[in-house]
Amino acid sequence: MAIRISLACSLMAAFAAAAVPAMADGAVAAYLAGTCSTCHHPSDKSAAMPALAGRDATELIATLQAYRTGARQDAVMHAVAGSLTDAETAEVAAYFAHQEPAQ
Amino acid sequence: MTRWTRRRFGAAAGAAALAGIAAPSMAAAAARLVIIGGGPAGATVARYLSRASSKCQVTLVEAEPRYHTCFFSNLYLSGLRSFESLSHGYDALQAKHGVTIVHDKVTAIDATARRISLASGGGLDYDRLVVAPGIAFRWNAIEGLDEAASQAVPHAWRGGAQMQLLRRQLEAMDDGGLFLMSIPPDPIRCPPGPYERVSMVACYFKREKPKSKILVLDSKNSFPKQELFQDAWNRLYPGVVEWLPIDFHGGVKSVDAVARNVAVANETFTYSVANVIPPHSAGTLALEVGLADDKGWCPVDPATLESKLVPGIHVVGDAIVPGEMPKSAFAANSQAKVCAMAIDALLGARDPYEARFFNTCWSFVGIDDAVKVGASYRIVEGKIKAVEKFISKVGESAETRKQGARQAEAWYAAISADAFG
Repeated sequence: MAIRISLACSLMAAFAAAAVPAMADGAVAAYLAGTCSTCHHPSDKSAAMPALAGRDATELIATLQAYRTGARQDAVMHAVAGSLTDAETAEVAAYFAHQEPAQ
Repeated sequence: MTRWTRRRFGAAAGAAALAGIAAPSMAAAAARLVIIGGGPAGATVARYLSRASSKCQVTLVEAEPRYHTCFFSNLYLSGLRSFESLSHGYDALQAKHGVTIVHDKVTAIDATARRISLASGGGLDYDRLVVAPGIAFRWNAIEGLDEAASQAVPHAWRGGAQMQLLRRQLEAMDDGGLFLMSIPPDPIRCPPGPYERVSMVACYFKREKPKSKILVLDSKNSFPKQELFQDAWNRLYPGVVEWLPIDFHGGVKSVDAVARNVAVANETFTYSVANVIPPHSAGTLALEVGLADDKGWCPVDPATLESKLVPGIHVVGDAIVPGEMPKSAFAANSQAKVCAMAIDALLGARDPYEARFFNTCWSFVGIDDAVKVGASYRIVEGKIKAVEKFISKVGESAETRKQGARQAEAWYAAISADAFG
């Protein structure tokens, strides 16, 4: 998994270097994470749309992958998870993992 | 408001053109980003631009002191949610996110001078402008239905006073009355919304006015989530809802607010309470400043949400031609994030990231009974296209529907915080 992500990242970097500079990593992660924030309130403690800030990155990646494969069933999350590449999934997970959990 | 040195972007919007601007002077000044319209689209753009990686000064111009959401207002009509719970202010955007809030009405946009004029007399210069004008109604498309008549026959298709008016009328109606609803042709804001309204008014009647009926005069022959809604109407409100497609009635021709009549091709119906939603166009400002095409909607480049008609101005939300996306708060919020990301990229002379869009429309059909439809989207050959679609099914368990209702409520809280801070 880690190898695939780093490979994808270096490929992206190689392509980007050839043209107009790509957006900064942080800006991309923040942008992609925006899709999650439409439904996941930063301090929601309910099971319906649980808060994502401060969650373990590995756990978030595993959860998104489970939604993508159908191991976890949810039509909305299947579409969300399916819209992200492995590299993007890792970026989004890292973004939320680095956020302070809301009180 | 602080005035920065006059510096403007080139007329061409591409990143390469922007990259040609001298780097040292770019670093010195914050870009002036002005957003007009404080609904879910405009507020989300403001909030996301406020944390952009580029140096910028974000100003949101909105005439009203508070925003009342149209989404979730059917729950208010049903008595299941308070009016106050649908009301959002702009204090957090200013205090927590550094957005300058200007409560004023925009009277003109000078796209060449890059300046907007305000009703109070002043103006604002901008480097990039985002317009989120929402929708306007095509008054007089139905005889007798002008803006003044909407004080007697509400559209209730914007949050706020119109919603309160319809609620009062429903509360004042005698048991055994007829609630008549007229639904306009596409494109409309919140395509499943009218049918959620039918469901939620039926839900209110079941509790409070069980002898009352609902007549729906539709401008369409089919509608979103039709099977799901009609299943719910038969299951939860048998004999209450009569839905007539346009091929059956021929279209609503006129409204007489004094006689309380609505006329279709060959028949006149007398109502107790009527909710006639007029056909829509993009918001008035978009029409006035040339952002709308001859059909009344705003064409945009979906990768940046920049207008195809006026360079340097971006348009987001219900006013745009959205490809396969519906006009919804979720869609507006999703477009707003693409727009903010693209503006941030353009300011830094970088290529915008590949746009992703998402939408889910939850509809309440009963108490603890919500259904959903939605999709993920990407840009294919210059247009927004659905990638993966999903929809609830008839016959789902009560537990699934209850979970849908909890998800919808959580979404409401989240999108409100996401837009208004």
